[in-house]
Amino acid sequence: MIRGLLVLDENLASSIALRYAGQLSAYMPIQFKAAHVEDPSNSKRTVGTGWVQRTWEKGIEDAGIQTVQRLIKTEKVGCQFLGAPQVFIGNRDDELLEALSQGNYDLFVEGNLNTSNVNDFYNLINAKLYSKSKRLMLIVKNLVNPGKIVLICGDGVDPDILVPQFVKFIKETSFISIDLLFYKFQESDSPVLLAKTEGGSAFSKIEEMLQENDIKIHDNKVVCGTPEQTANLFRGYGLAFTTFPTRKSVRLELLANIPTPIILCR
Amino acid sequence: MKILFAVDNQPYSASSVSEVAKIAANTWADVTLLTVQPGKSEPEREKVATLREYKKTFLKHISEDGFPYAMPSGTEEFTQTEDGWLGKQSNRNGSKSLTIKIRRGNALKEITQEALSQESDLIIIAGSPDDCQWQGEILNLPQRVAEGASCSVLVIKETRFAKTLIGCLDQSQISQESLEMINQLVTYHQADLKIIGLTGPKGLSGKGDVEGKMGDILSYYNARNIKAWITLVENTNLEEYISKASKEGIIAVWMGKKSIFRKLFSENLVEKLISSSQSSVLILR
Repeated sequence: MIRGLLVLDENLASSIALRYAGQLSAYMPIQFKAAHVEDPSNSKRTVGTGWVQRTWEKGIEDAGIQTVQRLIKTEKVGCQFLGAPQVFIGNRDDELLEALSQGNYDLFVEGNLNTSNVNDFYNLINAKLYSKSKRLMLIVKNLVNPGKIVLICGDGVDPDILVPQFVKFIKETSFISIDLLFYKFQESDSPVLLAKTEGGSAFSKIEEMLQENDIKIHDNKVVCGTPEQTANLFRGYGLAFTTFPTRKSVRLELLANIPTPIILCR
Repeated sequence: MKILFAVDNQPYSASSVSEVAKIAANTWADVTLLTVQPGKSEPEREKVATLREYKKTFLKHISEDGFPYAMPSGTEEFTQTEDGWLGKQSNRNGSKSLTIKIRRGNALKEITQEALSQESDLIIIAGSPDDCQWQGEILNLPQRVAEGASCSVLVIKETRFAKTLIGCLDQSQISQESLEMINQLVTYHQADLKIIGLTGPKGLSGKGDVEGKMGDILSYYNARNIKAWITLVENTNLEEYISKASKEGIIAVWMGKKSIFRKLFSENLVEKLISSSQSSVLILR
């Protein structure tokens, strides 16, 4: 059973993430812990008012729980929750990193609406939470049926990281199909399908490793184009899986433009 | 719903009839096919023939199940009216009207006047594929109709099926008719829908309001099994984004009275968008 930490706020991104989590549950054995973070002001506590601080924090916690419960009740999703929602008070990244570690979660899930600005995605995955976490990080950009997965490889993707992480994730799941896509940059009017040999040794290695682990690939292809054009091809998929880009690159731009939810691993 | 389909006798108008027929039938709209001729004492034969032909083509594209329009019996004659000539239907059994009409005068003025007098909800006008013009008419006629009309305008630029419809949302009130028009276009083209929301320099402007509307729109289309994708665009980059997106598919822009797009867009953006877009453009009001 996969344990997921699902972070919720009262906004559209969280609504989408929650609904997506419900749909994901249809394809894999997964339980979610709903969580919410409140970042209090940095004002110093005056001596002798400790009980006020604690009451205030308790009030925030209760309000946070109500926020999450309200969202869950509204969306009526069909996923299993691990107990009551948990509210953390403090710095968002620090609290969630601690929670991921303490709670022994396999997957972190949050909603983050797709934007046209590549820097938004770059800043997100380079924030402390994403850069320090050892867990699989699922960024839910849009609400789409997760049935069809695409494994993204290309320059900068280490097969020895990607494949073991993917094999571990895909075990006991019942996704409809798994495709393998190798991305190469090329300025062109529209994306072009290349021969599989264009993927080079890394592509072949990934195919072999997946075969050795009895992972059946429905379709494998090498695609080249600009990140914006190629990203449109991903609308046929419900979930993308790849490694964290380590620097600004065309692959990062591709991931920024993809409208599909993405799992990043390291 | 009332649709005014402004036509001439060129291939771009002829090839748009099927799309208009499908939209009209699915929305149960009253439809007027309108053409314009210079002021004369009689309707031009060519105009009359064109309208009769388009009406025949229109009816061919509609399924006979629940047929809302009257099948004409015999040749439709024209009777004179104050502003032109109106096709007279001999068979009135349809629940919705499909009227053919000729107006006299300047094309831009007559199309907009007809839309006003009929209280049309949607004007549909096609243009030449490359530069969206009407042959033999004033420069940028479809663009100027789209700019000046008080109702929604669909400018059809190509008849191939679009893969995507990009809908640009703003904070103004979005009508049920607008959502339905998008629905019909997406269904006809079997396209995906991309919903664009605006962000300001300090975060999402009118955040709760826009997010709420985006959420409602997403739910509306998901309930109709239409795949809808959300993308946020900074308002400072909007014009550039829409220019790029116009090469991707049909653009639909909400341009209500208080629309933020009116403030954000440079002058004549609607005209520029329609001229440069490779696909159709839907201006929603």
